[in-house]
Amino acid sequence: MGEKNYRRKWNHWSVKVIVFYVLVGFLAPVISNDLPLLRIDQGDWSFPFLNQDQEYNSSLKKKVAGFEIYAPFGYSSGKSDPFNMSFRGPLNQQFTENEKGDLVDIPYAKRHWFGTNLLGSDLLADILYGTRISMFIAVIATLLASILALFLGFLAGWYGPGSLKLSVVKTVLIFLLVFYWCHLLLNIESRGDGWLGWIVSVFIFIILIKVIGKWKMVSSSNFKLPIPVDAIFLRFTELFSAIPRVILVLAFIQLLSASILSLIILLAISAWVDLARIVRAELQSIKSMTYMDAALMSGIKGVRLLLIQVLPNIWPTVLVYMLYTFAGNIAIEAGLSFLGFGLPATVKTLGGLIAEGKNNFDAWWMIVFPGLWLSILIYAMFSLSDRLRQTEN
Amino acid sequence: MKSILIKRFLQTLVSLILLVLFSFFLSRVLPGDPAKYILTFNNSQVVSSQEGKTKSYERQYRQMGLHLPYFYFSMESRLLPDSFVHLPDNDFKFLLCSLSYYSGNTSLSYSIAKEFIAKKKTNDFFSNFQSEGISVTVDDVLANNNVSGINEKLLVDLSKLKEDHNNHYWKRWIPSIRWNAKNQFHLWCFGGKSEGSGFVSKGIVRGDFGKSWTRGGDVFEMMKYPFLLTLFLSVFVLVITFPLALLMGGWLTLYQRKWYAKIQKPLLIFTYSIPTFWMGTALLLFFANPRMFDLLPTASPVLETNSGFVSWFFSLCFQWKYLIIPFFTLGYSTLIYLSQLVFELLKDELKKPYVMTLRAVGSSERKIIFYYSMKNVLVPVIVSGMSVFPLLLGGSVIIDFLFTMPGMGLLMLQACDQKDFPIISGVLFVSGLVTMLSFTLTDLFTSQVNPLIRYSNFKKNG
Amino acid sequence: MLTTMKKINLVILIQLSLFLTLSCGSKKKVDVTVESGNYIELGAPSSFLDAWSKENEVVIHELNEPDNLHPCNGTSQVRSEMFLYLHGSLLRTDLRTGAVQPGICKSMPQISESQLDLIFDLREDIKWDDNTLISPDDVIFTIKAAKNPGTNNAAFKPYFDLVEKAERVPNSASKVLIRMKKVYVQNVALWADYPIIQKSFYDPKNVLDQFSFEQFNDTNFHVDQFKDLNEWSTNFNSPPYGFDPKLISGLGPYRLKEWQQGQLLILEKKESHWTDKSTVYAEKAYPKKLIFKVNKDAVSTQLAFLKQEFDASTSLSSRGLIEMKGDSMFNQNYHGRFVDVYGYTFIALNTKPALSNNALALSELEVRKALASLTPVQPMIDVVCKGVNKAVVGPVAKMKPSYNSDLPLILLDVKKANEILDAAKWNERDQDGVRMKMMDGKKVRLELELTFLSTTPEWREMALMIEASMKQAGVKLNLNMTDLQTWLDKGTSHHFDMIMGSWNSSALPEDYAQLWATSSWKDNGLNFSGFGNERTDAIIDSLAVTMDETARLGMEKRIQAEIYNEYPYVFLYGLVRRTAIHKRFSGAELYGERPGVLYNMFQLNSIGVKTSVTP
Repeated sequence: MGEKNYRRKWNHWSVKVIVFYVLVGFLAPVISNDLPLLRIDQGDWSFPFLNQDQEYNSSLKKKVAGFEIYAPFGYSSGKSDPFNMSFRGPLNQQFTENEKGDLVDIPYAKRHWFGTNLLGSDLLADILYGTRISMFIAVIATLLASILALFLGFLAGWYGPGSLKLSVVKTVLIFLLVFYWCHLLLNIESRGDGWLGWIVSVFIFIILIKVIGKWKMVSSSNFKLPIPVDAIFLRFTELFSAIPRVILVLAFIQLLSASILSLIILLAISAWVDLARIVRAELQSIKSMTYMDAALMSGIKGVRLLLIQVLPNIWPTVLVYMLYTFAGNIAIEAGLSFLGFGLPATVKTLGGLIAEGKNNFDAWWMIVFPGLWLSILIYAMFSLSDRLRQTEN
Repeated sequence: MKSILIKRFLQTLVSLILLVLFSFFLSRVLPGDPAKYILTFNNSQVVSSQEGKTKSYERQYRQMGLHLPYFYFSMESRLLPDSFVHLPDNDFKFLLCSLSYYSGNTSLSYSIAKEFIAKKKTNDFFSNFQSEGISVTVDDVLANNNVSGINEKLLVDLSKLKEDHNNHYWKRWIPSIRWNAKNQFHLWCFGGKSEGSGFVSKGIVRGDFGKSWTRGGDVFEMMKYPFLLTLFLSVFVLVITFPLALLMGGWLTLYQRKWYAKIQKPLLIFTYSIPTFWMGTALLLFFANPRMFDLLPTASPVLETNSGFVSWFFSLCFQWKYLIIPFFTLGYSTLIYLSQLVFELLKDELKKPYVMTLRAVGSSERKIIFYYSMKNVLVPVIVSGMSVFPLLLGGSVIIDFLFTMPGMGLLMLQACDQKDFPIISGVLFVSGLVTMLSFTLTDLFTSQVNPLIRYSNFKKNG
Repeated sequence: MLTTMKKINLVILIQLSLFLTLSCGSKKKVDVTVESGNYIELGAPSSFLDAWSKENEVVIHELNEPDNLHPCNGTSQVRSEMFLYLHGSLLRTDLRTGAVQPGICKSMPQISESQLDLIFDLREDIKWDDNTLISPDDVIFTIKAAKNPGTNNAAFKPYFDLVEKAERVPNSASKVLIRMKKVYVQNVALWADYPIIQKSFYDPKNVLDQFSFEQFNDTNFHVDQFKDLNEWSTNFNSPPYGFDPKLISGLGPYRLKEWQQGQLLILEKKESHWTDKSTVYAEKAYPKKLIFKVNKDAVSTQLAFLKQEFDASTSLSSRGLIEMKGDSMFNQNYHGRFVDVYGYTFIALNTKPALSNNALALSELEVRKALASLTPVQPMIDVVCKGVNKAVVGPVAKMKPSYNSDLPLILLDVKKANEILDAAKWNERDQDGVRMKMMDGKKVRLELELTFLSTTPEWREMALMIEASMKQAGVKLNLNMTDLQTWLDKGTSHHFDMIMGSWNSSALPEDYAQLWATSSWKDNGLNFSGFGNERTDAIIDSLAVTMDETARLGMEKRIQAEIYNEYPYVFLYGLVRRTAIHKRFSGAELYGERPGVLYNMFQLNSIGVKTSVTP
């Protein structure tokens, strides 16, 4: 049953499409590159494509006598083809130079199938490399968001309203720690030790909490305070779901300058809410099941219990929502680039390509191809999540 | 019932406090120095005297209330002076902090740092220090004791400082807690004024989000009409799509075995996958293009705000033609999402036993779907519909950009362009506030409706 | 690209206008040749098409809105363009000739023998909105407001520091005397296009009357000591005076009616205004409304032009206008023109990098030379600008008499650049092939950062082309895209290696002090690169006081040669204004001078009648 169900679940066109995109992302430099993948020159094996910067070295550009293997598409992203500059469309005439130095029609093997942009960079190569960056950002952001969501969702679902009890002193200390963090963050620039102070303060507080925890009088039950973890969690989810994601990311990208890392962090921070809510709800419903009682009886505790017993059971639902999050991340990244607030324009992403195209009224391929490419990916995500949901029921 | 109401309102209140704290945090964690930013933005780069610059900088700093501590209580390293957060100059703060951490002698560091900064502005020798570590700097000064501007006293102080080096290294981690009655958060939130600095605020409680850095105008006034336009569009989209989605969902369920109902799903979901900005551009190129269908204008409505809300609203309504493409761009994904939701929920609903009974009794399929089942579906659809609301507000950013609508998104984008943080945090706060209130209202509404529906079901099934 | 430098442009414009040598009202004219004459007159169409709008309103496309419309405090270029319609000034730049002509004065000012006193005789037909006649007091008030240390007009303060005092001329109701501190060539030109504001409107309590020019000239004078003045200044500086239509008032034929920030500005014609009877072309006011609409989205802008939703623009992209000019629908409705203007684009090189911890390589003249011949100027013009612009050799436009024609263009020559670098001992290469050299005992890579603006995509495209070209000679370029504020900060604080941007200037004689004097580098001014030595400073200083035209030309050519030989900049190409104007209006003229078009001269063609163009 399990085997069959599994097959039924995953045997879907959308899986193939997503795998295709992932592969394209991984292999972009191998699929499309203007430098040889492999060069055997008098017994020396080298992989010139690994070092895109070697163009600086003119000695490497010379013709070699040995054997070379090239990628299926002979263009690298961002490198311009001087004969096909200023928006050469896929249907337009494209040129190349023959050995005598005359302009001739380009052979089919070297055609720009998706056209070129203003500087003569091959759009197909740009799309492939753009997929790589966009997928990377979206995948990492989704993973981070899921980890955050699982953690917070578990916390809330597990402790519920008031089953977590902390000593008063500990509570106060944790509160002070959070406050101190915020305080340091607020003028981190004017501090001699910058981030180091931030990190060290955490350790000091943890040690303090541990030391005080050993103190009998404090840790005795008289001083304990029920912490409404669930309520706090719900308020935070309400806060984060109330602020529109685009606005949240736009606002914070002004603080951290736009880079791949900051974009990943911001996407992760703004994406955890829905998933965390689902995790919490699932955990609550699971908690009352008999097998949980059995597991508790057998002595499995804490994190292990969650990982062994709970996670496999809520995994299908989590996966569906992870796919949604992923699609959302890709779309938001594209939207930000379109608005001009995404990554620095020297980094090619799918959204950035569309943004480049929208300034050029007649170069339809600059908008149509990246747009379709992006839509198909998002569509596959939605279809897969839909499929998973249906087979689950 | 009353207890539910009160509880929900209390919850909203807590969320609101979080939102206030969050917005405050956003408006204070800034890269660089706001006072300096305002001065460079509003004045040109033509130099006046250094002295005049420092003076106007300090005035601006105090006028913005930046000399106050951030919060009701502040935690500061033992080694730093009480007034550390009050100090205006970031360079000075950095230097003071480094020196105090270096030696553990606060008062001595203070006087040395003061002298350093004063010299930095006139003396080339002192202007290149920041990039290197502080101990290198100290050694450097001690080694170059013949450079002009270094006097006996400074040298003595520095060597004293060097003797103390690392004696109190650990002290920097020990925070001391101080209470501040007058602080930036309080003034920002509840209003008040700070004597002698010219800082006055009514507080966001009374709708004062401060002054725009680049335009200088009142942020609330600047946000009012843009926000109304965005709100109007978003609510309008909800009001139109909601019944439409119910109809569509019902119709799809009714004909779910027909071929066109079968292909609708992939088609609609694909449309849903198309990025909004792409769709907007495509709509423009199709429906506002004399080469294709020249039906609608490309430009944005001209809305005059000087003559009050009523005339603004009417002029908006009269210029409905301008709103059609933005409306579609904003609404198509909501419509698809909600209609698919209704479709799914209705399909599930049709499997329930009461539907069998109804069929047996001889109710028409149409009536079952559009009347009996639809009632049960309504509540979850309303809840989901409201969860779309922040998406609509966020979508306005792209709509405003594409069609130059004078909405909140345009304001936000402009503010982001110029790093105008009072506007950015204002927009964030207001959009959060509106969505939170809408969530609360939906919750109250559904808690009202739910028992009724259950009751009626009970009656019919029983 | 023209519109990107909105802030700097004006500063330069003013400085330049100060150098005008027309102090005696002489007929000396700067010879401006744009296409076939000093300006282009656009003819009226033979018939009025049915599809054309009959509204007497000009809808103008803008990329940026003004920073504010405050009469004193503001720097943007759009703002100064709008002031042409909103305000009046003592003198004005005659856009047709580039010379200065009287504005609200009867004639050019009388100049005393000491060359210090200027006496302006105000016209008697000029009235404020409340129907009071303009009086010398308003002029005095304007100058006082600008000189007041409490007013936030740092950009204008240096120019008003030249003024000693202004006072009424005894026994005359219309004359005002302005005394300058020293003899200076720009003493007269200072008064061109500076808005005169009404005293009773901006200072009803006569606060500024209590203070004398002596006090404002005193460097020890502090506004904080005087409560009245402090209050007035704070009020005057406050944003409403820059944004609120009710608080913006001037002598011009239009008033600000509505300002939707980020979207549109409406200027409305005043009823029965003194300009109605005026015969001067620049004072005409035919359209009922001027509507400035901001649109940054290229697609919807082009669609709007196809749909005739815009009547005019001076801020289209080259590519956009060329595309549209290929469209019959556009050509039927619009005049689309490219007009050469006086600005240029450049890459500034940090020639004194040691003082700001930047790449040391640029301190070598040879490296700068190599970079100049590595910059693909002509390919950039062909690809990015569609061949509309022309390459330049120096800071002076070809159309000017002071242009030094002996200097040859630096062409793209990778081979030559490689040779220069090899000769300068940049022979070593690292594993990527980037050149290296031992400098001051440290191994330095030839790796530079190119800073450019994010405002329009063209900058990025050019930067990418430069990067690719530099690669061929083993020079590594890191691209850094910034907003205008950071761009300026980097430039003025000299924390850059290479910085790309554009300067706008005008038909008036070139000013060298702001961009090329060493003092401007020291004071964090606009001399980004650190160019200059005692010799050049001496030339620049003497240029400021030399009245003789031929002597000036010689000196100007010398300094151009100095700049050419030092390579502080890589000069790219001259700027071009791209205009589109609807044919339903006639009477439009295109000038090389900013703003390029005067919208108040647009006359709605009467239907079926060919209107003659007689300004």
